[in-house]
Amino acid sequence: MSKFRTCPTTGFKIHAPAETLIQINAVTAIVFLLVGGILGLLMVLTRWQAVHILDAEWFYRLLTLHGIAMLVAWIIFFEMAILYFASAVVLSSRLAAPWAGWLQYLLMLVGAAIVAVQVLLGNADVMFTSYVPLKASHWYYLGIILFAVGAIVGCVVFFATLVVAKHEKTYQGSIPLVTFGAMAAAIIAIGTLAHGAITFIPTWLWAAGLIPMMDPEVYRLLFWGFGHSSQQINVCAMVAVWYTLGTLTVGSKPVNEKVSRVAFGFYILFINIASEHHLLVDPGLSAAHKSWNTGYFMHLAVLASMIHAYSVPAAVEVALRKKGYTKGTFEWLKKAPWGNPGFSSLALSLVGFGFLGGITGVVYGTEQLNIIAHNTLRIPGHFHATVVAGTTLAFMGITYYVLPLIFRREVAFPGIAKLQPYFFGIGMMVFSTAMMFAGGFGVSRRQWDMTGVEAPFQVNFDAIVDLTMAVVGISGVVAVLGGVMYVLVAVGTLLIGKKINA
Amino acid sequence: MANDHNPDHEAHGTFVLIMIFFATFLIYYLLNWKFLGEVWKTG
Repeated sequence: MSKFRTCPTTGFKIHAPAETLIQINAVTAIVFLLVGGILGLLMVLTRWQAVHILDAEWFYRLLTLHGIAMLVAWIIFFEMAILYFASAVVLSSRLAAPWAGWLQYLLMLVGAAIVAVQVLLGNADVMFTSYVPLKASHWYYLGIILFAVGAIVGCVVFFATLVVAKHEKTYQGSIPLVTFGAMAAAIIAIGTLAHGAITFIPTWLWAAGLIPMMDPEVYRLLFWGFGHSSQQINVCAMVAVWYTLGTLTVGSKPVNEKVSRVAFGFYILFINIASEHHLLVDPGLSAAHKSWNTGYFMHLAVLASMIHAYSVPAAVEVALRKKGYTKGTFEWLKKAPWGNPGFSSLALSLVGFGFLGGITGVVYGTEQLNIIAHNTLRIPGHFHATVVAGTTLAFMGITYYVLPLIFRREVAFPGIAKLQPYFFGIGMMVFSTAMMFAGGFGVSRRQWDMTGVEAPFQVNFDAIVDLTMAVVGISGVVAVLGGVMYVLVAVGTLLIGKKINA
Repeated sequence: MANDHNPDHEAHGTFVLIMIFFATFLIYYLLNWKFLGEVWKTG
């Protein structure tokens, strides 16, 4: 008989194998966050032209690894922890097939390690998108495939746990909204990883010399079924975390749970099609095709985000008003628990994702407007707002609750924890805004030297660009400092945090 | 007249914030069309 314990705070029955898998996935995620953060610092200090510390070869090499470590390894390892939490813990169920959970972990770890080694050896200077005909070592593609297969196994364990919980009647009625959001994320993940398989398996065979060619046009189309949809897994997981943080920090309940569930359904139905906004300057697709996919279907996925972006703060406001903060329009906001890092992470994540990432995403994803934004620094400015200021900050916020609940330790360095979301969130929002501003002046993305020293012609940007790139550099350093504070609190809690008896 | 006040739906502050969001979106959207018009002249 498997071992359960009951959490005295939440009342959840926690299955020991689920708890161990959540711990190991979360710790591994944080290690990759640390690695990716150090690489991010090197990126920032190279793009800041006055500092410019890496040479071209190492800039592109480490930029590839920064993308993999942050956008793939940190996020997906953490999402595995969320999937096990949202199924086994939230439903007070046993985890289906813990051995498969360990298989997920090992496959992802081995895959990520192969990719990292190949990039560092200089065998995969192909950037995050690895557009063919750029060719990396076949080991690089094999690493990505192993990682993706591991993630699929994790999703299967999640679905199997939902079946077990239903069969063993560990909950009544519908599954809770957080589990529903995680389920939407897992459904999107299966489709996304299937795209990854049909993209990377032939590419792997091509790199190994077993098939003669890869069609670049087909590769790009299929890649974005993987590359962008994987970010929508993040969005679903982040929104599920938003609802959870609202409940944990101020006791909020969704204003209309059915509407929130429908919004998750929109993500499942439309986001994959909307991925084609990455291909808006691609010569192989017709204007009508691009317009339909990004002008219509993309906005149905955007509508889902807008529903959540209204629903979550409204739920927080309702909860705080019920606590007596009813004076005027904004007393609830003034009296909100801003000193609780869970709440400040939630609030800043909402602003970063919604205001900065959301608005710019819709504008840059519009077919006509994309032509002035494509391949400029506006694009990484946009996705640092969504994935970093939004998703990463939300994941950081939930960590402050996972540490006592799953690791059974009091959060260490509470003073640092209190300030951490502000350093990270505000630093990252200024960083993203400055990047988008510089991109508006034509500064290119993924470029080692924006002055064009080795180019056949000189590039003369407006003088304000130098100032803006200095702001990118300084705010990037502040955000990295916020990341270091997070790692310090998380690791400090595991090593010296006071044990909680439960 | 029935009292339609429901404390479970009292979120005026969020409504104001959402209106600010829409205004910001509108301004940024129109500004970008202006920028596009400056670099891609037609007619």
